Amino acid sequence: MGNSGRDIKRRIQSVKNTQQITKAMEMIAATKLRKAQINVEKARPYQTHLEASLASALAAAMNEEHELPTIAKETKQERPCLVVFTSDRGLVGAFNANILKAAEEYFAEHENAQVIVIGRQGRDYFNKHNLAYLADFVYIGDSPVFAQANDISQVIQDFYLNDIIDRVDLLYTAFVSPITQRLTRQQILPVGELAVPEGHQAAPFYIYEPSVEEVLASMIPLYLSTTIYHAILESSASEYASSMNAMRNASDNAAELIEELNLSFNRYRQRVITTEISEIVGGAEALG
Amino acid sequence: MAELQLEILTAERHVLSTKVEYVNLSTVNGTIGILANHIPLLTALNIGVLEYGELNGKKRRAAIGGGFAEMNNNKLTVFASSAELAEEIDVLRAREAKRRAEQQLREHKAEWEYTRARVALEKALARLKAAEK
Repeated sequence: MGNSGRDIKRRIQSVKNTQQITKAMEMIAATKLRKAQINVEKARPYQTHLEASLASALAAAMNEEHELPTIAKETKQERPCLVVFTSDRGLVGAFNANILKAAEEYFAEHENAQVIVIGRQGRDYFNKHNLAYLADFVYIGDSPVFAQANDISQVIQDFYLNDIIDRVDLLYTAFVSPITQRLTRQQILPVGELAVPEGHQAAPFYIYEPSVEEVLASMIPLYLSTTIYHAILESSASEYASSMNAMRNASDNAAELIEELNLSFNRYRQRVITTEISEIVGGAEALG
Repeated sequence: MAELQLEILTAERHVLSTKVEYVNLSTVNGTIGILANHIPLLTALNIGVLEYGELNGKKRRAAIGGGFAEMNNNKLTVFASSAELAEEIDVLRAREAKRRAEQQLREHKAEWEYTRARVALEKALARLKAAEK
């Protein structure tokens, strides 16, 4: 009997320790989320403006029937490639499971799809399932920089220009709010026709210096890197939000468990006291 | 003198937003000067130095790592893959980068390494030039 009392106490202590850890992790995720959120919001206007300028340059090039640079040309889109953004760390709730499920759906749609994987969790998944990938980028870190996106974009352009792939889609988790994240699939190559973002006023006629082709040739790589940079930022903000929610759930569950264990401990203590009293009363009666 | 608005942006930050008298851009076809009320223009930039004249007559510089610039509504927006104002440039680091790139260029590496080193060298030179007093 004495054992079970100590057992319950020990369990309460162990759950409390776990709760402390999950609470700390929740707080860390919240701090990182705030930083990531600021980064995402800082990057958005640049992205929108860039897309608008690119859209008007593309439209101009098409109107005047210019020869487009190779990177801007339409393709048959027969050999697609998916770029999947996962996290490096685990303990982020269903974040990676969701994105990898969406990736599987993409592979079901496009049987010959190639893949480029970002993040350790994604790479481990593809390794475990013996799936081949074109390239992998891991350990992006807590504060992604543009240079990393540039590297990824360079590799994608190499595959694309060497005709190994002829279509590129990004698959990432867009950050809407700390409780809502949305799986997003975005085609980045071939660039095709871009819609001018709403509320953006482009000049009707630009002079292109030295030529539309040259301007496009310098715009498109920048557009690709920026879009990838943006996807990395969105994905990491979503990762922290997901991690924060997972840790909050874990802390809540721990609190519930502690309450239950406290209850059973009190019940146990009551039982011991009752037994003791009835023993004393019994003894006194026997003496009396 | 008439003025125009100059914005320098990178994906990571808003580098500069100010009113200026003129801007000299380093484009793939050489330097072009932009004054107020220039007609709408889109131009490809190479790695180089951007020069602008402040309203008080002072000349300032920034190092640009390539990209493009758009002139519209008397506003010149520079979309750079990287950009630093002269006073932000770490001269020691740029010198070190220049030395490393030159060494790599001498070592006759594979084509892609060569290209990479050449880009690094151009960027380092642009930074050093922009930082010159």
